[in-house]
Amino acid sequence: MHRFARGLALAALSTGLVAPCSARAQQAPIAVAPIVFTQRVLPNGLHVVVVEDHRTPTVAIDIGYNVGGKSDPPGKSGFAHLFEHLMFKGTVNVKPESMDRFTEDVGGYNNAYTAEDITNYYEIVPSNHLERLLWAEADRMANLTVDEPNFVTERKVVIGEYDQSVLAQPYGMLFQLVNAAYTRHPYQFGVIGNPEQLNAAKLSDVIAFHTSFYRPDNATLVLVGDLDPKQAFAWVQKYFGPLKRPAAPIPRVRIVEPAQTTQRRVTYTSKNAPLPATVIAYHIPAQRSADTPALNIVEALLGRGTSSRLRVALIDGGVASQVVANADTRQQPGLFYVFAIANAGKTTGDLEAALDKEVARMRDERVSAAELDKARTQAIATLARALQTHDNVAQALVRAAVIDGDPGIVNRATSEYERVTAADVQRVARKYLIASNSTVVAYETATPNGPGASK
Amino acid sequence: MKRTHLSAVLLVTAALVGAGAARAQESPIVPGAKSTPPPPRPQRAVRYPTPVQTTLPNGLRVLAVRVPGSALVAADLALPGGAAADPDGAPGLAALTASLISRGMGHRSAKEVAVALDALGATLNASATTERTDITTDALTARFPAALAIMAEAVAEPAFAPDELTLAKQRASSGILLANGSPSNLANLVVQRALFANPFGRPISGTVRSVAATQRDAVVAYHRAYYRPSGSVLTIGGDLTPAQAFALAQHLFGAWTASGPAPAPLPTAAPATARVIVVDQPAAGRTAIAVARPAPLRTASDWAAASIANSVLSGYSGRLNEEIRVKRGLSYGASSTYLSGRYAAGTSANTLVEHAKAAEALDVMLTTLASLGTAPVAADELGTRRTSLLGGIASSIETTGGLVRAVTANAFNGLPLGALGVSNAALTAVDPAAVTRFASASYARPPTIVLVGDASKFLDAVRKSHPDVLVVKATDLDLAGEQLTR
Repeated sequence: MHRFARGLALAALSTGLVAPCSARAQQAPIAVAPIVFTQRVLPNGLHVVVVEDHRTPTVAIDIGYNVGGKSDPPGKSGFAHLFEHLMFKGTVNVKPESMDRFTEDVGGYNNAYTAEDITNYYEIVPSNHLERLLWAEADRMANLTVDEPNFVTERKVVIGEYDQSVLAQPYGMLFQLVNAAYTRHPYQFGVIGNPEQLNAAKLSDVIAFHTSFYRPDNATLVLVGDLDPKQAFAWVQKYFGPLKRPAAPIPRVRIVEPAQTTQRRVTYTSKNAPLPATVIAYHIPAQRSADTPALNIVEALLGRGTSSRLRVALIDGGVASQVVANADTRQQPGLFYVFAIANAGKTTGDLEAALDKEVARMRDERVSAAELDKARTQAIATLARALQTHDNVAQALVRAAVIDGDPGIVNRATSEYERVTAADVQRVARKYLIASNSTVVAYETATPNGPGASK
Repeated sequence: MKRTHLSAVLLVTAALVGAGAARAQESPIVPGAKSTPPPPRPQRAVRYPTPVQTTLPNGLRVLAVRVPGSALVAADLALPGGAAADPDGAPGLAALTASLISRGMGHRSAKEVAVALDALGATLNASATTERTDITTDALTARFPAALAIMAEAVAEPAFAPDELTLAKQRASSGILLANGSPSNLANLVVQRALFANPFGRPISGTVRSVAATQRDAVVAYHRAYYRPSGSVLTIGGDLTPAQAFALAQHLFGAWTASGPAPAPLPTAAPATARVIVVDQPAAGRTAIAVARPAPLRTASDWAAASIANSVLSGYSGRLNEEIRVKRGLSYGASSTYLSGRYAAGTSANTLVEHAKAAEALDVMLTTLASLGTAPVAADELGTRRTSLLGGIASSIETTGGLVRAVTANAFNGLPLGALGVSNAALTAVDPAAVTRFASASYARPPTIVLVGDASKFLDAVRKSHPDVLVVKATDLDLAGEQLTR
């Protein structure tokens, strides 16, 4: 919705009405208006980004901390995520689960997620509650209180989440296995961890973790919606301004994954997957790399839309029932992966051969101008679709700010896509999407027809 | 990795919400020092847009809803029929037909359609539910007329090419296998089957067997009978005037006609006899539990009370999650869903637990559901749950596509044009007595209970409270018939 050009619309409609022509006809280029934001850094280091948008009477409050799964203490995988749960357990001023009182009770919602590079807490509430939520977020940054019973109970909940999202899901183990692409970097341990290591965590680790990472100079606060920026900045100053910037440096991951030189292969037999699946994952550079826009176009060419190459080759070709291509760019070097679930009667080997063939085409053939233009248009339309809500605009800004240090990246995506050439696409495919840089996961089923399908 | 988010609440802490205490000090946060939260300011009202409507000469009802500033225009065409119109013994036909309409049409091959839509950056989706088929599209405003043109052609002139049918059957078959691999999905399918008598209990996607048996003639016949302008609703929403939307609809859908007589409308769903069903799936990672009952239709007078009752049970701090997760740690989450259509409606409470905890969790669920009719709902509990429900509805219409889908569903279900605002008023009028009155009747009726998981770990315990259990091996399950096996 919010931030995009509207002038283009009506003129085109009034002429388009007469002949809503074939999609093949010459099209005006689509433009995407930028998200207009203002940003400030408080003296204590808190990065604040504000967007004023009155279209709906709500406001999104996101606070992203520059800490994630890769920051887990050694031998305690899953700790950052466990800690995220503990941020809901009360402060010197409020009882556990108060964030739900401040949001759900007034018609809003809240949640948090932990990824490899970021832990983001967010609330979407009627806009008249903005000041209360700023107070509440400042309060839990400064005043978190966690006792032993709360810690033990919440650890059980997190292990229950592992059971539900990894064990009970037929393909839940698949992306745990893909982490084998890393041999030294902590990305190899993932985010969710495992019950054994979670049980090794202690309450003292919680306190140390909060002290190390939950501080104003390690956070970005993003406010989007029905607000007055001047008033919003004043409230931010009032509630976050008094928080101190600690003297100790923020711990950072400095481990560099060595370049991969030979293909790695992992085979796993799932007890509950109905159909075999294959993933091929390739190392790619960090998100801030100049190659990222071209890799995003490769993702669109391979996997976005019904006419994308993997869809045509594997689904229309009858080999697979689902396909995905994803440039999973991160703060530190990430992975590009292609993934497919087979049709009945097809094997992981069939999938790998078909995926390999399409990836090889990206390296061997130069993409046509028409197909490249299609991928660009899709990338831009997808962005417009994604940024319709205050929630999503805030999420995009906070991720850009925390992962790359610059929320303005959100507005550069369109022009970067426009600049990607067919030569760029082929160059990045030849550089990264090669066998010696890949990890192949073959996810086999225990029985030929899965765990008990109905007839 | 997300912390479970449902929606929710039981307690209202007077100190937090009560204005008096909070207004005294809007104190800055000083680490370690006590502080109180500032009070909310006056609230701005949510806008519930009212669509404008017209009817084309061919009988197609068209609604337009303006969304100033929207970058996208979205459309939703709702056609009557759906899975409840599938032939007896051949479930999945409406869904298969929907999946084929964009795979070649008029003078365009499937590949040409796919390339054209992707080049527009547009989406085109078609899917069946029990009562209807929805065809949706959206595109950046300048590209929308071209996207709608493809949608119109797909609806009126699909090719149903034999090789595309073969591929669609294969995709549908894999989709069914994947859905059945998840105990939660399978439990919902069994609930759907067990809650209503035919024609309403059929699995929307069909079964592996019924999909494999589908012939092209059946697809063509389904399309001829149910893809017709009269009785259908088209909504167009975005930054365009109603006049522009209506002109576009007339231009692209005006020539659409149906052949043959319209099929008889669906009957209202008849509830089936409540049963306790265990589907034994030894490889399942967890046991899924569902407790379901028929519920008021969307136009029923007690729809609002049923909605509020459901919301008291649902959400992160709703009664079910409170009892199952917060108090007992039996699951990562538990909630209740209320789906109300024009011909059928039901509620289902769901959770996912370790196999060995299934009997205990089922008992807690049943007790919690029954308590809604026996323990009065406090006014403040009702107030926060209502606010949460209304906030969720407001949030669902924040995107242009979400608004268009809501407007279409309301029109299809026979609600007035101003239904978004009217529903808001109806939900606001529900008081605690109305919830208790509704729940004491509805939640006292015997529920349909479904457990899907490793039965060897819970069957004996479940039988102690429910001796009359129907046990079906997952490999023997056949959802095409009411008896669940062939």
